[in-house]
Amino acid sequence: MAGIATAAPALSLSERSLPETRLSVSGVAKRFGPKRVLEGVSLTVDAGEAVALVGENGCGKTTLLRICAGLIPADAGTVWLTGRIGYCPQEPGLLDLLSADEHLAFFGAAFGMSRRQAVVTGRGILADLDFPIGDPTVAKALSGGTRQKLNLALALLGEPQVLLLDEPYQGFDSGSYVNFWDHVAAWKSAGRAILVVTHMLAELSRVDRVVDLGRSSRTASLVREVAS
Amino acid sequence: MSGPARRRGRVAGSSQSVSAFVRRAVIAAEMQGRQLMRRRLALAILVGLPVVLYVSMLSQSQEQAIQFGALGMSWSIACAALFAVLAAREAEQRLLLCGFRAAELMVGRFLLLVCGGILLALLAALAMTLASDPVSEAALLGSCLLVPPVAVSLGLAVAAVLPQDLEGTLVIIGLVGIQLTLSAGAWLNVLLPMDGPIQLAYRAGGFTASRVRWTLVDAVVWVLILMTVASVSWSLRVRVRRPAAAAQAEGV
Repeated sequence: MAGIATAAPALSLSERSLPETRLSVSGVAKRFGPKRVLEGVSLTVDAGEAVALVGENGCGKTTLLRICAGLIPADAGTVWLTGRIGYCPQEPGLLDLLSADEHLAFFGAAFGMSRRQAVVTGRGILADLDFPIGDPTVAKALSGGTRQKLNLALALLGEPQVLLLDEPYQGFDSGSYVNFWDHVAAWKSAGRAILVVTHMLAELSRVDRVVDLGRSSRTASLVREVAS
Repeated sequence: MSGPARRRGRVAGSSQSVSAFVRRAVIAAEMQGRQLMRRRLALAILVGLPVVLYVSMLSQSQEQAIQFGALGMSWSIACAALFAVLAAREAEQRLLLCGFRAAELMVGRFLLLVCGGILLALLAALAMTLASDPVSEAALLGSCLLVPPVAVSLGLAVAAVLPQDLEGTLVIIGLVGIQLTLSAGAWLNVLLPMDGPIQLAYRAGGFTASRVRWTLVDAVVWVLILMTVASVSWSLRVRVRRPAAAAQAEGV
């Protein structure tokens, strides 16, 4: 690092290309009844950066993601976020009796897309995820992994700038799983900010930073960021 | 910008937002309809319940059979509304996060269920007219047409306040079923949402029913009250709290 610093001319603040922060979480705390789930959690995710959120079961990863998405309120702290959110929940939030195309048309309407535009765009995303395009099967009859692909595609439909992904590869076969991390790299290159909950510690080299919300790390001081 | 130009801009903006509201409510209704049509067994029970109640009473009292038919429709339609909301709960918050408004989803669902309910009610009115020889066909038709909007509002309100399948179903059974035990003139009727259509069913069966002239007003008031409860309670339940700065981003 020191070598690079001496070889390169010093840049003034205005000349430096500073990373653009898309998501900033500061001092977030959350309780469910007497159970303290999060306390003083802080993190940032910049544009073009992927951050992994790890930790054991029940340590508050999903809760933190839901707070970032605005689905539940934090008891304390602030979440600052800029850009459209793409949220992929752990349990697919799908409508059991609608097909993939119908989901695309419905969710696309939320973004002001026409039915055709939503289906064409959505099919493109689904094709990248190896989803059987044009399959009229309703969501509840799809396999777990296929449902999860639809779940992920809906999160990507509105071209979000911030992706909040809660173990989005659950049920994926090995090929799709490898592809998922390739997609993460592509989304990063496109300038998206990605916060992904994962248990797959072997893949942590595919992200820029790791935030560990371990059992004892529910307090701010123990949340650690590990440069990969 | 000059005053008239600003006014024109405001009018264009509000007409665009109305058109977006309608477009989204229509697609919400369409998707609700698609889901309902795929629940064939539920649809069969939805139609079968009022038929069974009506036919079972027909052999004992032609006059009361109409009241039973109306109550059966109320149960069916209110429970259809309840389960329509509960089945979509997980997806609903996601749709809101993507940019839908709770009111668009609620209005779309209301319209679809009322239209489906009116179709059921017209068939029921025709069948009961032929089988029961009602004293007043107009009262029978009025009763059947008032059941869907009130029952849908009741189902949506119960789902919003008590979003649990068993608990919600029991509340609906209670609120509708209690009218079976009450006479037409009982004061307690005023407190029950299905009173308007049931009063008309009494009249159609030849009973002396009080406040019949007020049934339409009664039904409209109940629809307004229940839909307000449903909208406010559901909006709070599935509310998306947009993080700071995100609210400014288009479509978030």
